[in-house]
Amino acid sequence: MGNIKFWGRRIWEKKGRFRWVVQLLMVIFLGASLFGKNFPIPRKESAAIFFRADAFLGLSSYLATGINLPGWWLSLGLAIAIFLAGNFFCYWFCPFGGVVDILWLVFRRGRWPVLWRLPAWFRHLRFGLFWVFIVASLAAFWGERIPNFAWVLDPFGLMVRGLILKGKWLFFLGLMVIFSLIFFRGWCHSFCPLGACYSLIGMAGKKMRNKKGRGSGKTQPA
Amino acid sequence: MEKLSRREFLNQLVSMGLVAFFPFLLRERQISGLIRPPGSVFESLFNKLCFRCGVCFKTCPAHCLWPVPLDLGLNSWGSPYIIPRKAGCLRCGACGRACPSAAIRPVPTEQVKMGTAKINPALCLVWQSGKECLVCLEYCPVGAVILDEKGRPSVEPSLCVGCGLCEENCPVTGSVAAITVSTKGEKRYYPKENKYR
Repeated sequence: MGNIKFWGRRIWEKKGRFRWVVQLLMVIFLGASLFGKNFPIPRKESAAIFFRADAFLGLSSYLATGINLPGWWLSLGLAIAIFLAGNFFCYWFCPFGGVVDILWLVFRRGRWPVLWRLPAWFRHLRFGLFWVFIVASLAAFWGERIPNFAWVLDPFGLMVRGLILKGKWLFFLGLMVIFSLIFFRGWCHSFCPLGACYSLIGMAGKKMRNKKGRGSGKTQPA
Repeated sequence: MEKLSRREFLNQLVSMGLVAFFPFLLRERQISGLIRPPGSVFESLFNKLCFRCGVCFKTCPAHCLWPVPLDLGLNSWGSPYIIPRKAGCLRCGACGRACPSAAIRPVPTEQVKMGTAKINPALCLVWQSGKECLVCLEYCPVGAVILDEKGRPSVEPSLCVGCGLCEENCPVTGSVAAITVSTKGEKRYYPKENKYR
């Protein structure tokens, strides 16, 4: 028990570096699940696991069709964890974020000056996009031939599609990665509907915790 | 994080409302006859469920799946379909097991029915010039290609599964083979009824 506490504290103190390791592992996991020949987990599971952890796709496909995503409990579990602990997903486990962070560390950190900043409204765009996709999914449920376009900007779909189908899909992925290097995490902050979904869940959790804490006098409201 | 002003917020809200109305404008008038992978759910549900993740393309050992190009319809754009002339389906069910969105379901091989092949006598070498070809007969995995008394091939629709191996291997040169697969008689999965029909 003492050892666990000790290592837990060490990891927490070094969480900056530990985060890089986790991100790198997630990127390797995604790459190996798509291109590895002898991957330890059955390949059908390894590639699909990212989509099963995707609460946004799960929610939108449920709203559009009334059908649950297979393995939806995984995204539900992640959503509950984010509700309790805040949005840790984007900066720890997202493979797209991992690629961007690693490339940023390799190419940009301290080398290029930050010349431009995105305007404030642009940095909030993802929340708007999230609600657009949710409303569009509801519309798709209402009308049989109305398409559900939630997949267009999903980060896992963007990565897997780009790496498998290549061509214009890979070009779009590359464009988004470059955009995220020019404006740090620009794509994540401006366009990612999954990030918006998890941020909203995290914010809701934080708000609830603050509400609870205010009455007891044990915690400070944010 | 900087806070939005009221004007910025309202601007965003109105523009998002307009974009949200966009799907109504994209309504597809006619659902196209694309040959979908075995175990696919019915067409309108398929287009809504499919994430266009591309996992099925990667998993397919026969490389028979292709993404629907934009000119075949915005609704089904990027979703998987079979082009039998390029490669036929082996009915292995790998795509159904790999699909993370449940748009393609695992289906027993004996229940697979993706469409029906049809011979075009105007292009077929046996029908036209009496040559001994019969490649379709050799490649058909279910024995759906039968010969008449003059040795000319035809397809038995009740036996054909629409795998497209005949079309892939048809020796007639050009983009159109003498034997082509259409979605006629295809079976799709209906989740509410939990059956293929």
